[in-house]
Amino acid sequence: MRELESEIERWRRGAERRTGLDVDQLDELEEHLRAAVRDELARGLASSAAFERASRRLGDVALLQAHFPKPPLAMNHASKLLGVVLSAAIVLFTLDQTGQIASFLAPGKLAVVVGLIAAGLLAGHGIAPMGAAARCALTGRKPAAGPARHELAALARRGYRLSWAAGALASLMSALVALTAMGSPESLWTELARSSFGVLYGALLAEIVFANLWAWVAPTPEASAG
Amino acid sequence: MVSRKLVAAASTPLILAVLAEGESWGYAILRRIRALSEGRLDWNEGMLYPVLHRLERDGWVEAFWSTSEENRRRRYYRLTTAGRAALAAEREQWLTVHRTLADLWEAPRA
Repeated sequence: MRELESEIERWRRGAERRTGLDVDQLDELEEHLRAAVRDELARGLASSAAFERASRRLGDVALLQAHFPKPPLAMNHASKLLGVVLSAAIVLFTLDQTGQIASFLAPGKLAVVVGLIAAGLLAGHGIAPMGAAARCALTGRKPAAGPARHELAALARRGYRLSWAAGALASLMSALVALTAMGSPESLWTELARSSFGVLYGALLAEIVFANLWAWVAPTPEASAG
Repeated sequence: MVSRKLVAAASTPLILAVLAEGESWGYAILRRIRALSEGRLDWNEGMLYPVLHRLERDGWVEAFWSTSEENRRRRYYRLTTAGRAALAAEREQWLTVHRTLADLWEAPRA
């Protein structure tokens, strides 16, 4: 019985790490698992086999489909699109005013945003899942449904959040730098427009890279029912 | 075995109907449906919780915490008034489908 308890404890920690479920959701599923294990035991299975069977059903099905990590949609798609279009409009308007192009694309800002995202992902997931994610993306091969796929979805979710945050941070930093190091008042508008590229890059990475990565590994709607 | 697609379509009335019998919790709902269908509905955990949580968001069921026989925290669900009305509407629709098919299949061939 002590072994069973520690297996349930391990299952719970794993589920928490992979799915980010809150305490209430974990409690609900743990109760489900415990009842399923009891039924398997009553059928005459040994404790490890009972746990194995019950957790496989719950782990593979309920965790992967019912609580599959979703990109946190702080805003709905329409307002996000509006945000991207507006920032693009600001940038293009200023571009037209000043006629600068090359420096406007701000490759440095893109590097900062990508770096911030990579650092955040590394801190949250470690190097191995990132390598696995890169391999999957490069080869176009999805991992089979299971913990690896779940990890990839969790990575996509985190990357999605980080992209928006990193973009905002990069913009904020460069706006502050621009304000403090401003040569002339006329350049203010230009500098602010340039700094808005951070948000734009973050938004594009979130929506194009991570939202699609998530959608790619997500279970089909049919499988999750509804 | 009833197809997964059809079971998915029936999952809302199934859960609502089980809860109409009285408050219940995840695993017990699953077991009740399995027992009633004698395992012929391909019904699993992956279908239960998304639907259950959606019904809760829609205000058709409400959840509350109680304690299990083992004195552990357990999340129970019960029907709300809106849920009862929804179940009645679902029932009407399913009976209509059922009657239509039954008429077609039982009518003497022309």
